[in-house]
Order: sequence, then structure tokens, then C-alpha cells
Amino acid sequence: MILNDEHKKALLLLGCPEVPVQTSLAIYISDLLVKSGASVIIAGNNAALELVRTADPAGHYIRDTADLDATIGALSEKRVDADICYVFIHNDAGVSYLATAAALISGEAVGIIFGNDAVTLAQQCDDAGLEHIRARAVHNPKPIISKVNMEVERWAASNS
Amino acid sequence: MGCVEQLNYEILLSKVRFKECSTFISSNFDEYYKIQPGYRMMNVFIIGVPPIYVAVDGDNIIFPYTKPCHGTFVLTISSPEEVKKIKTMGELVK
Repeated sequence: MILNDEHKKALLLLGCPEVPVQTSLAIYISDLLVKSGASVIIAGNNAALELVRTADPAGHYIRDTADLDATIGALSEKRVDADICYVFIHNDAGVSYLATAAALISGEAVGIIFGNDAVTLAQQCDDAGLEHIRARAVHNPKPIISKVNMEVERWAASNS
Repeated sequence: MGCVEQLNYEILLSKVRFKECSTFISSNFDEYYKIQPGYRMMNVFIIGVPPIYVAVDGDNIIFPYTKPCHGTFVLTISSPEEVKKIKTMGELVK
């Protein structure tokens, strides 16, 4: 897990890959971040990472990947840090990962909330004081894409 | 980094929301501590929405454990070493 110190460091924490939009959202956000000049690590469990790697077999969009548990350990022990961490949330566990990332990194942690329970999960994030964007996207990522575009543009502009 | 599967644990609560785990621990144990996200417990790192509670019952330590696909569990493991550590590093709540 090596990050180029010349670039801003972005970390994507994937959730359980049971909601279809997650994989394409991860590749999409990674591409936006790379184009903004960031180096990107995508962390997830084996299934989530295999979906991402399989969707980008030539590695045009995905550079570095890492095991989710190992990444949490590395963040906790300060061996890894991030300027921005986007946490993919479609269940209660995702909110826990966002709260953990927010506590462990020196940069910003923002939840990307999607799926059928987006409203409830967004409320949980609000209650915990966690930043997020949300849309009820399950199979079709379209409802959340414009919000993702604005969010990455916001972060990139704040760091330019 | 290891996995909780390598530990000899017992499940007290299974596949629930994190908040339910916090309520379970604070309601069922006489001695519990507050920890920060990322606290290392043996070979796993605890995640969650603060306040994260870890209880002590004799030589047993009781803690929340979250999996991305399965929600949060409350586990208990016999570990005098971890009990000693939480008494030093945790913030006593009750």
C-alpha cells in the first residue's frame, strides 16, 4: 500500500457488494479522483474488490486495492492516512465504517449513501455528525451521479 | 492483520445494528468502558459509531464486531490480557 506523496491521497472504502451500483460507482469515483490529481486506493472485502477488478481487467481505472480489515488496521496504526475518504454505505455497517474513517484519518471522510435504505442511513449519519451525500440508487447509478460529480469537484476545488 | 475467526469467541448478539450492540452492552454489564474507533482487540480492530462500549465480566471481554455484509455482532472472549488492557486504555463509563 504505497501512495505517491506528490499527490493528494484518496481512499475508497467499499461495503458489501450486494447492491449493484457500488462497483460502477467505485470505478466512476476513482476515475474522477485520478483526473483531479489524486492517487486512489480502493479497499474492500474479497468479493467487492474482485468485482471492481473484473470490471476493469486492463487496470485503466483501478490502480491500488487493499483488504478492508487491513486498511482499518493501517489507518488505526497511522501507517496510512488519506486526504479524502469516501465510504460506500448501503447498510448499518457502512455507517460504522464511515464513523471509524472520520475518527482515524487527518482529512475528510464522506459517506456515499445509496440503496433502498438511503434516507434512514442518511439520518443515522446526521445523528452522528458525519458528512454524506445520498440518493436511492440501487440498480441504476444515475440518481447519485450528479451528486458524486459535485462532491468530488467540491473536494478537488478545496484542495487546489 | 488477522480475523476474528481465529479467536475462540462466543456470540452474544448477532447481525444487528451497531446502536443495538451499544445498548446491549450498556444494559447488561456492570462494568464497561468507552473506546475510540480503531482500538485494537487481539488481532482485530474495532469499528463503530462512537460511543463504542466494551464490557468486562471477570476474565471475559465483551465487544462489538462489525462485518460489511452481516451487520454487527456482540462477541465475548476470555482474555485476561485484554481485560487488563481495557482497564488501562479504555475510559470507564460504569
